[in-house]
Amino acid sequence: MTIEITMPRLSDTMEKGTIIKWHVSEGDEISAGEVLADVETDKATMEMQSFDDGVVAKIAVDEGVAVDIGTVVAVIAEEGESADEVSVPDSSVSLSDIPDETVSAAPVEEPAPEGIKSRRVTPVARRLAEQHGIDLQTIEGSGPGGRIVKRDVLAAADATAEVKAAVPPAAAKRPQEETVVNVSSSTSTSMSIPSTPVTTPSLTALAMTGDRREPVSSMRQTIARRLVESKQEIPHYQVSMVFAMDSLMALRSQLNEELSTQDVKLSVNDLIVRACAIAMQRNPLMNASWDEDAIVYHAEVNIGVAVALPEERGGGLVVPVIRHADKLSLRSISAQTRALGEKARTKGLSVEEMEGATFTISNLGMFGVDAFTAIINPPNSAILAVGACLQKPVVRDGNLEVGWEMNATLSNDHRVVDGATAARYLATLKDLIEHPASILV
Amino acid sequence: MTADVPEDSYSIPIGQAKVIRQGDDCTIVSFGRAVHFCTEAAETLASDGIQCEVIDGRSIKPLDIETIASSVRRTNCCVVVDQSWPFASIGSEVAAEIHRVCFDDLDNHVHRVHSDDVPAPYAWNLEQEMLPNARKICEAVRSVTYNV
Repeated sequence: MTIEITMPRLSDTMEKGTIIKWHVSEGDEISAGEVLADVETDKATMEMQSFDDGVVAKIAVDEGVAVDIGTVVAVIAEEGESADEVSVPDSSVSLSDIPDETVSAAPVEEPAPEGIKSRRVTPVARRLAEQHGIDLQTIEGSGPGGRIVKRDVLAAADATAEVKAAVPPAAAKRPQEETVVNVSSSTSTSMSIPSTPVTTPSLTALAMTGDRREPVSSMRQTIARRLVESKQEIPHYQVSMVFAMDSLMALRSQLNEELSTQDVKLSVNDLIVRACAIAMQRNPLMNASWDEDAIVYHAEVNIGVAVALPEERGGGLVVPVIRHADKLSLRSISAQTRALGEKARTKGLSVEEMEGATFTISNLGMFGVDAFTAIINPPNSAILAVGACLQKPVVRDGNLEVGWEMNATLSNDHRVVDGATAARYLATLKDLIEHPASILV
Repeated sequence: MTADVPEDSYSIPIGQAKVIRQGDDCTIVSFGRAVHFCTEAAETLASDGIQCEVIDGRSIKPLDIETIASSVRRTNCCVVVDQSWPFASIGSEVAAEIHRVCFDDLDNHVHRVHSDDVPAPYAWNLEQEMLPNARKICEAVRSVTYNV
């Protein structure tokens, strides 16, 4: 009996996985529990373990290739069975099902793995594409069977050149002339130049020699996909409020001073997390998600805190989740936030640590940002964009004073949360932050 | 068909092809009588905006592959016209040479126009249809340049 190892579903949103590194090679003896490979999903990099003892008969998927869940990635022969006798299922079936986006997402320099439909390109088209620095994966072929021919490459090159030429608004007439010249010099004047989907105009306009083209990581793809989805599907609107921070700042320094011996160091953000969670409890209409034909009101208040990852870990951001934040003490919130942030920055988070947020906080205050708006992190209905806590001239009881202020902007999904609801939530938050005793007790 | 001829005696160099029409879109190579069909086809195609370079090979062996290749390297596609049956013909040999020398410059395989692979008919009208002609060359050029 042979055992097929398939790409496991490692998170609920995972559709594909990429084997980053194989820890075993063909012919290796393995035992149950042994780590076979590191798998990068849309959320995190995880270990894939073997559930059986045996011999690795076949590794069917190369490192760096994204495959669908369920695709056979390796075959294990059981003990006593010769690895050579194992018939390896043809993985090309599942591989060929991968839509083109995966193919183009894979590093272009790498040869297409077996089974993935190779693009047909005529010799001269391939050479011209190299000369013009055009990525063949971005071109549709107009020849028989989708073959990419010379004119497809030249059209793409012309499109790039046209956009470049069209950029200076003063040169309104010249680009047209250049266009004609380009077309006639490329193929012939009356040949129909196929409308070729090239990269977006804004990008081609910027195309410069020496540009670097880097394939994106799974995480970057996920960020891109989810945020585009969010911005396109969710009717966002923003509500903004300024909070007087004097009481909260005073409370924080008092607490930190008195608890310094107990290794407690509360950040402003910890207090905001706690305040948001309590405000959520008092405004349960906010703690909800849109689900096609229903609004789901969540039983738990789980607050996601956006964490930027350092460049050396590839950058990007993750959202660790503080579960039951409304029921946790400030001390636990602070400890968890710190631990999760640290783990995210160094080792990376597990899927469980990033799942289940019902609300998200994004804080750019530490960078000195006054105010900004954030994109909702689906399936949340709201995200709070927190600015810096700054000393400002403020008017209190008719007197001009110096006070601490902080701006917070709430982005909402109007399908779930109406303006008045969002405003009430912010008002609750303001009350909590400006009278922080209720955050404590 | 009319054209000027030299009044004095003259000789044609052996092994040296002649570019008799210049164009950037497709190379047409032919020998002997069929060259006239090629220029006729080139005129028709020019009115459609396809500029053909017509090369009269003039001698078959030695074959001036360099003149042909330098044209194909510019146009990236080629039609060979040969008034004979296609199998094991002058045209198939020339096409094979172009593939060998210009492989990396081709945007399509070399197309060939020959007499149809049938016994030559006696009726004049059928014979004209069976031989290479301007219509067949135009079709081949449109096909090789993906303008079908």
